[in-house]
Formats: sequence, C-alpha cells, structure tokens
Amino acid sequence: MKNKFIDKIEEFSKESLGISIRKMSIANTEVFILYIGQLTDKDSLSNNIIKPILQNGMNNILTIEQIATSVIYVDDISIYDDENKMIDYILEGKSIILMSNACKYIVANTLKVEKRGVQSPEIDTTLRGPKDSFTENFDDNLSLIRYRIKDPALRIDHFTIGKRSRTSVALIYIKDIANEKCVNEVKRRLEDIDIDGVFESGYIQKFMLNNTFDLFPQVGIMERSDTACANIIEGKVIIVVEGSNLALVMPKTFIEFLDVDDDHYDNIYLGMFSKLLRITALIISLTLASLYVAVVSFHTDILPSQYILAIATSRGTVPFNSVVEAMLMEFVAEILREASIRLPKQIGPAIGIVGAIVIGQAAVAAGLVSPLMVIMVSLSVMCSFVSPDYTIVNPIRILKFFMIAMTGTLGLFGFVIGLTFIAINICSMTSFGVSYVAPLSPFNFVDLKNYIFSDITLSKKRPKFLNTRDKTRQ
Amino acid sequence: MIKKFDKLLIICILSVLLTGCWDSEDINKKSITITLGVDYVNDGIEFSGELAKLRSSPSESGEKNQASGVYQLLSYGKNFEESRRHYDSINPYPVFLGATRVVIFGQNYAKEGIEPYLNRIDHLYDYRKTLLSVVSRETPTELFKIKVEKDISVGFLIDDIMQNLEMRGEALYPQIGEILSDIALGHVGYVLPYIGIERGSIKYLGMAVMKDSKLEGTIDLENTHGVLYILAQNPTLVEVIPSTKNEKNQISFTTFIKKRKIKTDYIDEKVIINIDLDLKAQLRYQYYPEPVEDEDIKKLEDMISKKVENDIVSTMKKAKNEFECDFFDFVRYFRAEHPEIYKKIKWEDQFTRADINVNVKTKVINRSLEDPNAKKKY
Amino acid sequence: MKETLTNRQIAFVLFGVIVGYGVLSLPKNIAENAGTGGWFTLLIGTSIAIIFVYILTYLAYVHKNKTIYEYSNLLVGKFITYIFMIIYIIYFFMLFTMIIRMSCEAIKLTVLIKTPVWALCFSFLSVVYYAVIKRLGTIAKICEIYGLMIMVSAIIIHLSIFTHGKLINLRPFFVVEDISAYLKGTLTTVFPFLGIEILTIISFNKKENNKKIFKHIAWMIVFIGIFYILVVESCISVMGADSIIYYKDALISTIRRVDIKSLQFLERLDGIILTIWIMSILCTLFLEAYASIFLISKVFKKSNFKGLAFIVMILSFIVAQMPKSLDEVEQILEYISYVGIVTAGVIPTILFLITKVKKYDKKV
Repeated sequence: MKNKFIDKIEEFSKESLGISIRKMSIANTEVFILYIGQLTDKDSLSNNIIKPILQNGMNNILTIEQIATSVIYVDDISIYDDENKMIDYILEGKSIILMSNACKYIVANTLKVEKRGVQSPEIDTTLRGPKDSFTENFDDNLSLIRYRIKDPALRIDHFTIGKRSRTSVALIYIKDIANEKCVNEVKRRLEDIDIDGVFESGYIQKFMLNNTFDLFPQVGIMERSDTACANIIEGKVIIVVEGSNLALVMPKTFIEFLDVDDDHYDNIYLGMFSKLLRITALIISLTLASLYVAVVSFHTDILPSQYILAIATSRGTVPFNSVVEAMLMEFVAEILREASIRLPKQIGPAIGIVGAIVIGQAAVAAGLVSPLMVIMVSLSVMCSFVSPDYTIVNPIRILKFFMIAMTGTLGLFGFVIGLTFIAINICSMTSFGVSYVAPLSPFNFVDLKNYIFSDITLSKKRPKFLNTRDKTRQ
Repeated sequence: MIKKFDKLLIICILSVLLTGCWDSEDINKKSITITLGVDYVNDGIEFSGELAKLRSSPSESGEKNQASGVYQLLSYGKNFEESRRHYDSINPYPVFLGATRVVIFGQNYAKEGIEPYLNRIDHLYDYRKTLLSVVSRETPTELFKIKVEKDISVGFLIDDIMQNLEMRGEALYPQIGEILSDIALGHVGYVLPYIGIERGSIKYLGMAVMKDSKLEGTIDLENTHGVLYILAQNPTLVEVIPSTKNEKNQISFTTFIKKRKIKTDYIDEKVIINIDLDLKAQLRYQYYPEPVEDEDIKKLEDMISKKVENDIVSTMKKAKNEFECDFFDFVRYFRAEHPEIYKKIKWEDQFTRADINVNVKTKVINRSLEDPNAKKKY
Repeated sequence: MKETLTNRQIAFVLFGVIVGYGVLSLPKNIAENAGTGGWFTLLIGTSIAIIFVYILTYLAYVHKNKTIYEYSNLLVGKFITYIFMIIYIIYFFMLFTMIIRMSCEAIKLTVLIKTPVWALCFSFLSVVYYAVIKRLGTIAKICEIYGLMIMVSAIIIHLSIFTHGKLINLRPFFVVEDISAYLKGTLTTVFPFLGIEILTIISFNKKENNKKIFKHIAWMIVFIGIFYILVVESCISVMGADSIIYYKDALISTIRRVDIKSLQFLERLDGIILTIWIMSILCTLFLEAYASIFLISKVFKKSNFKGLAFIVMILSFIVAQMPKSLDEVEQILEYISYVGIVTAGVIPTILFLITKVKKYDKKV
C-alpha cells in the first residue's frame, strides 16, 4: 500500500537534500523516520524514538496516534497531515515519523546544534557584574533572560525572518512597562523586513534605523545578559536573534551609550567620576587633534607664551603643516587599531610594539612629526577605548577627520561650524520616538541627575523620556 | 531634485575645503618675538628684539624641547611701517607677536612720547594687551647685548624680575591695557618700571613717570614706597625702624595694607584728597634682641605711621610740584564721587593746587612667634 | 509634521535668538550712551522688552497651534495679513543675511585675516541650511544645548574678568543729573533685545505649554537682562568707560586685555569667548533663517520646504555679498532694527488689541 508520504520520501531521496531515512518494519506496517543527521540528537533519536517503536511494534499493532501518545519518549511532538510542510520541519532540525498506512505524520523535536557553552563576555567586559554572556544559541539566550526576570508580564514575541535562512528572532519586553508605541514600531519594522538571510543581529539593526545614512548608532548591542535584563526592566525592547551572540536594545539615547553597569553596582562617587571621565574622553577623542591644528596653524595667540614656545620648538623640524601632520598621524593610529583587531591573538601584541617603536620613536627622531602630535594621537586613541559600547566611538573616529579638515580650513571658526554640523545631526535624530539627546534636550533635571549619579536608591523613577507605562521603580 | 541640490552643496563645500587654508600658518614658520625694544636713533625708529630660536644648530646635539636661545633682531626706518618693512626684508618668516613678554622703550624714545607705539600695540591684533612695558635707561640694543645666564633671554629676565617683584608687592607691573585706559581717560600720567644696566647686569632701578606718555622723570627705587602704598594691589614692604631704647638697634617690620581709602572733595574751588591708610605690621626681627613692651609697640606703631606718611607726602609733593601730573589715578576717584563737578574743572590745574591729606594708622599684629619679653628664670 | 516645544525650549529659543552678534559691541554702545550708569538703562530696556514679550506670548498662547500667519488671518483678514507677512519675511531675511555678513566681517578683521568673506558666508550658510531643513524641533534642541553651554561658560568667564577689573572704573554707579541721558540711551538697549518676534512663528501646544510659559519666558528675559549687565559691567571694569567707547569689538578687546594666570593653559580666554560667540551667532541665524523660510512656505502653500530653503540660502548668499563696505552693512542693520521695532512691537500690539477687543481670549 502506497500513500502520498511514500511518494515524498522517494522524491527526497532523489534530490541530494541530505535527509537521512530510517526504515523500520514492525508488526503491521513499515515506519519511516526522516531527519537531517547534522541537526539531530542521535542518542535521543535512537533511545527515545527508534527503540520504543521497535520494542512495542514487534507484537502490537500500532496506529500513528498510539505512537505519538504512548510509545515515544520525546517531549515536544505534534501531528500533522500536510505533506508539503514536511520538508520545512525536517530543515528545522525535527524528525518526522511516518507510517506507510497512516495519513498523518508525527513531528518530534530532536534538534541538537553544536554550540559553545555560556562564557564570559568579550566585548562587553566588566570588572564587577555577572559574567554570563549571550551565546549563539537562541534558546540559551532566552533562558538567560527568563531566569533573571520572572515577571509574568514578560513578553517574548517570536518572528521568523529571512526567506532562506529562516532565522528565529525574539522581541522581548515587559508588557506593563514598555512604551506601547515603541513596541509596535519595532514590531512593524521587524515584520517589514524582507531579506534572504540573517546571520548576525547587525542585519536586523540596519533595518531598525530611521535612515541608513545616520552616523550615530540608535540601537545598542548587549553581550551580557544582566545588562539586557536591566534594560528590559528599564522599559526597553530587546531583540534576540538566533545565531548571534549580541542582543539588540532600543531605544537608546546618546548618553546611554556611555553608561556602564559597573557605575550602578559600584560606589556612587566612582560612578559619577567614571561617567564624567568617559564623557570627557569622548570629547577629547573627537576634538583634540583639530584643536591642535587650530592652535598651531591659526590662533597660536590663545595660548600663554611659554606654551607657544614649547609647541614651536617641538615642531621645529617638522616638514608638514599641522593639518597634514594631524591627518597622517590619526590615519596611522587608525591603521594600527584596525590591524590589532584583525590579527590573531598570538601576534597581536607585536603590532603594539611595532606601532610604538615605528610611529612613536622613529617618526619623532626622524623629525617627521612632533612629539606633541604623537602624544595627542595616542591620547585620542586611548580615549576612544574608554567608552563601553564601541559602536558610539565609530562615528567619532570618522568625524575626527571631518573636524580636522574643517579646522584646517577655517580655524576655530571652522571648528565651531563642524561641531555644529555634528550637533545638528545628533539633535535631529530620534530613536523610536525618543529624542536622541534626551535628557539634555528636552531638558529634564531629574533624569540627568539620575543618569549622573547612577545610583538605584536615589533614582525612584524611570527616565521620563522613555515614556514608560509604569513610571516608578520603587 | 532636492537630492541633487544636496550633492551640489557637498561638492561646493569640498571645493571650499580644497582651495582653503587661507590663514593657516604653522607656528614654527613664524618668527616668535619674545622681546621688542623701540628706540629713537638718528631721527628714525629702531626696532630691536629677541626671536625664539626654534631649531637647534647642528653643533648642539640632542633633543631640546624648551626654547634654548634667542636670535637678535634689529631694523630701522623713519617710522614704524618702514622699520617693519626693513625687518620683513631681512627675515625669513613673518613676525608673530602673540608670545611677546616685554616691550622695552629706550629713554630717547620715551622722551619723545610712547603713545604712538602703544596705539600700534592696541590695534595690531596678535599683540597681547597684557604685556609688560618698561623704560630703559640704556638703549634696548645695549640691553640685548648682555649675556643672560639666569634666564632664557633678556626679555624673560626682565619679565620674571618684574613679576616676582609685583608678587611680593615691591613693584608695579603695569600692563599695556591699563596704560591704554589711562591714556583714554586723559588728565593722568602713569608710571612704568625703569630698568638699566648696573655692574653688568640688568636691574630694576625704580619708576619712570610718564606725563602725556612722555618721560617726565624717574623715581629712585628707595623712594618708590610712597607710590606703592597708593597704587600697588597688595604691597608688602619692609620698614626698618630704629629702636626706641637703643640707638644701635634696628627693628625690621613687614607692613601690609589692611584698608586703603581714598576720598575726594571739592571745597572752595579746591580739590581735597584724603588718603586713609590702615596698615598692619609684623615684627620680623630685631638686630639685637631686646624686650619689646607694649608701650614700645605703641611708639613703634607711631613711628611706622609717621615714616609711611612722610614717604607718601614726599611723593605727592614730587608729583604735584616736580612732575605736575597725577599718576595716582586720583581723577578716577574724583570723577566717581563728583561726576558733575568733574565736567566743569580742568583736572591738571586742579591737581597741582590740590590739598592732599594723608592719614596713616598702624597696628602691630604679631611679633612673628617670638617672645622678646621672655623672663629668664636663673 | 507637527513638533511641539517644551516651555523650557521656548525660553531657550528666546535666549538663542536674542543673544548673538550684538554682544560684541554691546558694552561700547551702552558706555557711549549712558556711561557707567549703563546698568540702569539696561534694566529699563529689559522691562520694556518684558512687556512686548508678554504681548507676543499672549498672542501665541491664546491662539493655540497657530502661528502669526493663521491668527493674523483670523484677526485682520487676508489682505492685511499678506502685507504683514511681506514685512516679516523681508525683515527676517534681511536680518539674518546682514548678521551673517557682519559676523563674517568681524571674524575676518579679528581672527581670520586672509580668509575671504564669501568663504565665511558660505560656511555659515551651509550649516544654517542643514539646520533649517531639520526643522524647528532640532533647532530648539540645539538652542537648548548650546544655550546652556553659552550661559555657563560666559558667566564663568565674565565673573573671572571681574576679578581682574577695577571697581573704581564702574563708578559713579548712578548720577541723578544724568537721568535724562539714561532714558535717551534706553533706545539703544532695546535693540539688543530684538529677536523676540521669533515667538510669532512658534505655535504653542495645548498640552505642553500651559500657563507656566509666561513665567519661563519672563525669567529668561530677566536673565538675559542680568547677563547683559554682567557683560557690560565686566568689560567696563577692565577697560574703563572712557576707553571702551572706541572699540566696536569691545568684548574681544576686553578679553585681550585680561590674562588669568591661575587658569594655566586657559590663561588667555579669547579661544573660549570666540567659540561661544560664534555658537550664539549660529543659534540666532538658525532661528531667523527658519522664520523667514517658514513664513514663505506658509504664503506659498504648495512649495517644497527643502527646495525653498535652498533657494533662500542662495539668495541670502548673493545679498550678503552686495554691500560694498562695512559702513553700508552697519547702515542697513540700523534700518533693519527700526523695522524690528515694527515687527516685534507695533504689529503684535495691533493684533493683541484686536484679540482683546474681539474677545478671542475668552472664546478659547
């Protein structure tokens, strides 16, 4: 006796789909099990499915329903009859159990993917704070969040994105905290995505932006699960993407990119100090080189005379003008930085030594650049490492050159013009309805105070700019 | 369409950037002037000065990060512009005046009147208006010939000396800006530091009194106390008073100003200026230690008061009779208190006829932790 | 696209538009007209400004969600509104164009000596264009952030200048006999407050802008008055009233006469003052340029805002190059400031009276 499923099996075996077929003969009929070997937990398959079926089927007559309800041991099973969907289930890593005399089939979840265990974070490192970071495994990531927040109002909306990759994407928020408008907006954007494949949360991130040409990031990335949970509680929306170890958080405003969990866990003064430090570092890394150009080439007289002499003598033999010098050195520093990311860990330190010797010592000794410039460049690179989320520094790295060019043309005036261009860009941005420069503008003293103190006992309310449903923390 | 406009804009900005850099001029491609001397020689203006040496000469090896030395500059011309043209035609880089510390006026030039150069400083943008100006007894060129070992160069030396003295309250540090305000006010003179060469080294000699920006005369270093008590921000002067008991003994005091009150009045077409000084004095030491009783302190206080009073009065007399000019800025006080009368009178005439009353009170506040009255037990 | 501004933002918009180019020569103008009693004239000027600001705020408050174009239509009819609009558009356009030219000349004469004026104008206009196409919401945010920066740094700088000034230069504080001169000088102190007419193009929102808006705006004007007094007095204390009247760039001249040794490498304050001065000019320009373009787009309803902005910028660039000398620019600016009295005072007062007579305020 032949049915539609057997035809399908024949069709599968003709094409090289990589589907394994296990055929079993029991008392009354033949049973087929279809699965993809690479995605299947073979122990589970043989112990929980094949073994019970064979043991029971030798003597008893089994129907498909009986198998599903009283024979196999797998926890997650369901019964379908649409033969065209079989291929989808198989590709998702499930096993399909067919009987030659039944018009339905069982789908049993035996998925097993090779994965790494929960490890400590690599880009979101911290001194104080839990070390369990997200991994590439979707369920593990969700479980990390689930076990931290036991609120029944926690919502996890599932989406499948990618026509070919069929990646699971989860949208996580707390229903009675998160701003509804924001959640709906994110949902709408997720549903609108029409793409072949998603392999990193970065793809989703691009679709979340208002404008592809925005310079500054509006979506934060999270590697550590405690940070993610803190953000959920804050009223934000988290997106976890299958196969990516970085979750996305939104909305995120400019100053929140400079916020670290350590600040919240540690002493209040240290928190304030390090926040101040980070803001200053960001500003330094953006403006230092251009201010140097402004001072050296345009408005030397704004410095006291001792400093003027010090700068002038240090530049005594430098053949370039200051704009070229600054551009060149910043460029070299960026090359060093890029190289040190790409290099394998074993030879990574070598680049540091080469950089320090070649760029630092030799260039100065050869009289190509002034020692002051080397200090400035290394300071500005160092400053760019201070900020916790590296995505906020990326635009700064590019804008640095823009600022040098503007200052090189029009001096301090060009500096202000350039700064204003950047300020307009930042101010005009909104991150899911939240002003990107909040709480500086629209100004809110309490939010700003809470941000700077970053002490949970003092901040009784959630930030006003997030416009959350539940406004109080305590 | 708009997209195209945007692109056009970007292209325009780029073109501006590429053709730009109009004002860009690196600091090491400028002649950094540290000191400038102005003098009047052979009916022409002579600029002399010091330029910072940025490149160490090949013979000096090693890296140098501080200005190690200076070049001298010298240029002539009938007026400032010609002199500057002469300067430009013999030097490689444009002159940069933003780091100038001192402007030295030669005595000859000071006698002719320094106002033109002060105005030049005021309106040349890169000049700071806070720099020091001094009058030199010798010509500036002579000053620059002196080999200075105590400091980087002559200019630095003069500036540092004056700054130090001003900090200790022993001299005035008049900045160009203040002098310009005085000139704009009119009716008043001002004093500049007077320097010269003595025994091969540069020395602060006293004050040069300028009337209508012309050198009127000088006040010797010993006689500057009177001026300082009126003009210095916080004068800290040392007064040596002979002991009341023992003629050989001298007692050294440091005096500070506790309160300085200048009140003006106009009675019977005569300007009256009352100066009230409240001094604090601190007994530093005695040449030969002696007990100092409370009555002695009283007497000493009176003596200090008298001495300071005499200093001030004699300076005033000099100002009124010899220089005939008000370099104490009394006119500001008078105008502040009697703006209506000020409009009617001519201050220069009034000042020479003015009554100036000086009233000094002194209080010895401590004997610097020493107890001269201690009783010996054995 | 409706954007609502918070009360504080509207107050900062006022700060941004009022404080700008004029600060540079303010100490000179005040000292010239009222001598050391300038603070008194400024106080009178401030109180006059508060009255007109009240009228403007009241109009916008009564006519919620409306700008001058709509409520003028409602009050005086279409024809007169068109005349009003033409006055406002020309006023705003000429004002921002001439301020650009004037600032460029000032910058060229002080810091960027060799840079051609057109290049400076061009950079000004390009950043103004970029701001204007981002609309009022963004401009208000810029004003708020820049405003705070300007306030804090300016106050610190002027207080530290005070420590280097002489108190005697500020005296006499007040001369009873000169009171008529002070009152005459008031006219010059009203000009620095021009810019309040920007309130005509800001539409208030019912929810955001409640009664408190009056308080916010009044405090801001009082603050600006005090700020002006601080600037004038600190400059006079350093330069003296006799000296300062000769400097059109009184503020920068003052700064160049002060070295604050204890600040180390910030000893010379020119850099900071120059930066915040350009920032405040930029705020003024954004708002005035936006006002003119906004009103044009109201009159020509179907026009594209971005395109319009671009055309206005090009026009402004051409007009800015027209005056041949600095004196001409000053002359034009003087005429414009007389028009400013009409736009900030006369027209709003007429509309205010009509509103009161027709009792629109009761209807709402």
